[in-house]
Amino acid sequence: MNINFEEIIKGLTQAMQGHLSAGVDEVKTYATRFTERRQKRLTEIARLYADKIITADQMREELEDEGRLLEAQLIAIHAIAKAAAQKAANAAINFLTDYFIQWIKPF
Amino acid sequence: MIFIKYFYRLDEIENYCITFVVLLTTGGFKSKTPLMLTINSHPATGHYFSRIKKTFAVTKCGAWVCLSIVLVFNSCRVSLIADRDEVFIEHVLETALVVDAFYLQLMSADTSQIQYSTFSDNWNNAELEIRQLRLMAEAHPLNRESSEICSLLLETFIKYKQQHQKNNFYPPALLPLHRDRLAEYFIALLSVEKSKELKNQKP
Repeated sequence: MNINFEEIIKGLTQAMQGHLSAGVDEVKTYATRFTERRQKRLTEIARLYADKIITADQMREELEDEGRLLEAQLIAIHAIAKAAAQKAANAAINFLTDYFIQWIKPF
Repeated sequence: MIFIKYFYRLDEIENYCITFVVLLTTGGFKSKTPLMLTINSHPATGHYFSRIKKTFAVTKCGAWVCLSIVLVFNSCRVSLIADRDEVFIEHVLETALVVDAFYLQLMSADTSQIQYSTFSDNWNNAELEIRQLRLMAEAHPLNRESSEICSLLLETFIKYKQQHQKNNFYPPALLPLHRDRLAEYFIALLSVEKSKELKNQKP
């Protein structure tokens, strides 16, 4: 049996790369969007405090809430990265299965 | 023949595996020895047998390795995170709607009317929806991230509820901020769910 390892490695890299780069794009898009929205909220909190609409304690509470939200968003990014890694690993497994099916096919 | 006919209905991959098992167990593959395997064709399965009616120059060991790899990888799937759950996505959207509609109601109320007693039912309904969402997330294995986000959402929501209850007033300037912040949690949940693989989806 002649197994072309070069072909296998090339195929595996291609199969995984597509999913991983898609995952990176997904994380980038999500992070960019939530950062923009956060910036707007922080500006609004600063404005409310500067205009004396909210007290220093209220501002502190608001910033604490923003911190909690950031925690949730980082958890979301972690999950998106995990999903991309899972897709890449499964794509690699599917590539290997398909490769070896080609071996069996003549029979 | 009936046995083979039964297998003929199976997927392509299973067909190939069965062919291999038949060949291996009947000595179709001899170590380093090319062998002509001839099996009489059957009217119903003639096409099937014509495929294996050829000369094999594959070693028995090599065939076993190939078969093992196919069998192992075909049943193998990496699971780091739960599969996408459409029911959960729908429930996230429904809960987001309940919370958003409630905040819209608070924002459109007169400042003098923003008393806790007027909105206590809305607070309780929305809290129940969020709690149910967290339960749904926790019920799934490998869904730690979604249930953690739900817990943080619930924590924030309860904090706003308690502040309203304690002060019997909700500062109108903070309402749009809190509404946006709660919506962010739902966006996080949906982004996570969207990134997941569908069940049985081939990447």
